[in-house]
Amino acid sequence: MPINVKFFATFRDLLGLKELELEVGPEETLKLIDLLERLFQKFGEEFRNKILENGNIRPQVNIMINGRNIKFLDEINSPLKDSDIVAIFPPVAGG
Amino acid sequence: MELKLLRVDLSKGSFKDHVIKDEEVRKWLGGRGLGAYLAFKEIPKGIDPLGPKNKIYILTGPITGTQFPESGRYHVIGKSPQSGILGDSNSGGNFGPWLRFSGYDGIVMEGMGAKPQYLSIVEGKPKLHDASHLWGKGLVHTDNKIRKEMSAEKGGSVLGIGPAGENMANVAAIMNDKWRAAGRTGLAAVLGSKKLKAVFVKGTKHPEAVDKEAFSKVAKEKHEKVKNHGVTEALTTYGTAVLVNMVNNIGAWPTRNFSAAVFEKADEISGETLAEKYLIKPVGCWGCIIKCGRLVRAKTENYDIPEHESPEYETIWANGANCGIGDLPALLKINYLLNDMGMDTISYGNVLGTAMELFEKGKITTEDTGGLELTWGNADAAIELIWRTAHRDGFGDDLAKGTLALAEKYGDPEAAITTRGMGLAAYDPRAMKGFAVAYATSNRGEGHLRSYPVTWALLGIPKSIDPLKENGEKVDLNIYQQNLFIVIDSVVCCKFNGFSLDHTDITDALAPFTGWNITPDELMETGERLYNMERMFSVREGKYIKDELPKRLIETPIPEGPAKGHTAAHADKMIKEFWEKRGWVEGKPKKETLERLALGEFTQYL
Ligand code: SF4
Repeated sequence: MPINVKFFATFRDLLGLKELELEVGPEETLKLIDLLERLFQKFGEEFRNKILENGNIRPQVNIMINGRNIKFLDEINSPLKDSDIVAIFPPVAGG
Repeated sequence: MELKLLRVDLSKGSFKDHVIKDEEVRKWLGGRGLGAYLAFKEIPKGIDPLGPKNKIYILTGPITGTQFPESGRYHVIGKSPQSGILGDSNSGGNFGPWLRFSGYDGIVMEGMGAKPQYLSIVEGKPKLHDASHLWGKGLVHTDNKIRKEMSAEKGGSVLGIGPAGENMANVAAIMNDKWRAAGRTGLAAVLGSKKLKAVFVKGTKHPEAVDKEAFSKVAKEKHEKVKNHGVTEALTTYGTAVLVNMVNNIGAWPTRNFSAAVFEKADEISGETLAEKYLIKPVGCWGCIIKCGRLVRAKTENYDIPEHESPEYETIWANGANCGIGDLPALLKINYLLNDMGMDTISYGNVLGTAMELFEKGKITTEDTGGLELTWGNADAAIELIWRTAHRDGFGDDLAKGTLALAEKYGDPEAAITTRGMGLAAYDPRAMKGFAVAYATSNRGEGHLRSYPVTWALLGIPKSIDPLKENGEKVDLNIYQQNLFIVIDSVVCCKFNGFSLDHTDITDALAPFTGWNITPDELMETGERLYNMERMFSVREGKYIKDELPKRLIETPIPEGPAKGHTAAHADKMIKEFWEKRGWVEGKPKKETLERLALGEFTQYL
């Protein structure tokens, strides 16, 4: 099962899509940062700059792995496995 | 600085000016704080909220309608027919600023009219008009008609009630500028009891700062700060409904009357989908640069909904996930009709969600509903019941009384997910633990904007804290925000400033505007004073003093999603810690706490 990556809010406009699937080899161990690097290669520098600042996730960007914010997991080193859902949100506000 | 209120005696049809002196303004600020104080003094204990002794305070505050960012709002206060304790609600649009421009900073509605009337204040001159021809009419018609009668095609603002308020439904909302609502706590029903259909305000008297130059400079700086903050772009682009996917993603989106916390159709009713399919343009309240409102239009196979301001995050949740409705055009239709009938979109969603649960359980049947199948997700029934609720027709009369009364009538009070009789909002406190304190300790009940755990759980403001973690820091943050937000509601500007500005920014602006030598510490102490004073209304009333959460949330774990297995059993411990930190016992301020906050006059009610 591939990893499912979902984009939200302004990222949908920037990338022109809502979600994509990334295949992971059966033996492959992947960290979030590895997945992000693949995305940056695919989508380019603007996307990178919207996500990262000095090598870390920008403070108001939220990335969830299966609904858990990576800030409360292992940040960019959070491990990923088959069938994980990664949700990437730009800064959002409230209601 | 002084605030000038217009007192309207609807029984006699007479007017009186009431000037709030500088000293009192510094102590109670304006808006929610001043309103709570006046309500405490003037509304006797134990009175019927729908009787002649209740009053409605429609108030602005010192910085409403000025250059300060997002200052286009007003606050309404009175005894709530929905909870039986102090009720209050805040609204945007244009009404607050135009009220000030009309020459008054607030209006107090007293007594009871014998026939329907509306009030106008134009250039400082109040007048009561017959409103028999508007009674029974929706808000769109009422707004258009009054504008015509007042020869005000442009400028000015209309506040009013719809059939729901006229018929004294507990779920009624005071509306202004057609689409903006002071929705919660049912104060529109009080205006209905007074037969006050609407208020029109217009004028050219702009509030002036004591130190104009300094205030103008500060206001500009704060505008820049708001503009350059990361969350502003998201609010402008997607409106408040940008939160739908995020809260759902972390498994904290109450679904089907809090029986689950992930809604399978969230993306279909999200801010993103709204923007993609139905958005015409972002619109804002008076003077706002964020513009989180959405002007929308939808024409689909099933619905043809005229241009209007679309549902907010809370409305989408209450009538969407909470009722299992995942059809966005249907939600636009529901929102349009609720606005026009003058109903609180959250309270309607609350009571409908409860009714659907009871129907699914067999406790409410088609015999009760007049043939409607109130199954989860039945948008047609939701739409049909709006008119019936506003007119208290058949089963609509049950809904009009609100969630708690409905659940009690049909023998299942635990199906009412409420605090202090008010239906909860769009965050599950089992999955966002800070909301346990926010909901339980909100003075008016419910309380999604009394403190806002979303800021630390999702926005990293002032820092990120795991929503699933139970810790004391969340108690401190709730207290800080309760004190800050009551200040914001009392100087009267928008809470969405609170993402980018804090109490020091408000102090920076308040000092040159009022001429007070005020410090951030004094401002926060004022917030604490107001929060304590507000609580004293419940204490004197002897109702809803203790802070507690609904049983379902404490005992029943979330069945699926990222917060699976979590309950709000932590609430008890956090509430005790909250009392301790506030200097309260079992929900009551201690004598020394009141004295420390210059509230000695209230100790006699302990
Ligand atoms: S941010 Fe939204 S609610 Fe606040 S003043 Fe602006 S438009 Fe109104």
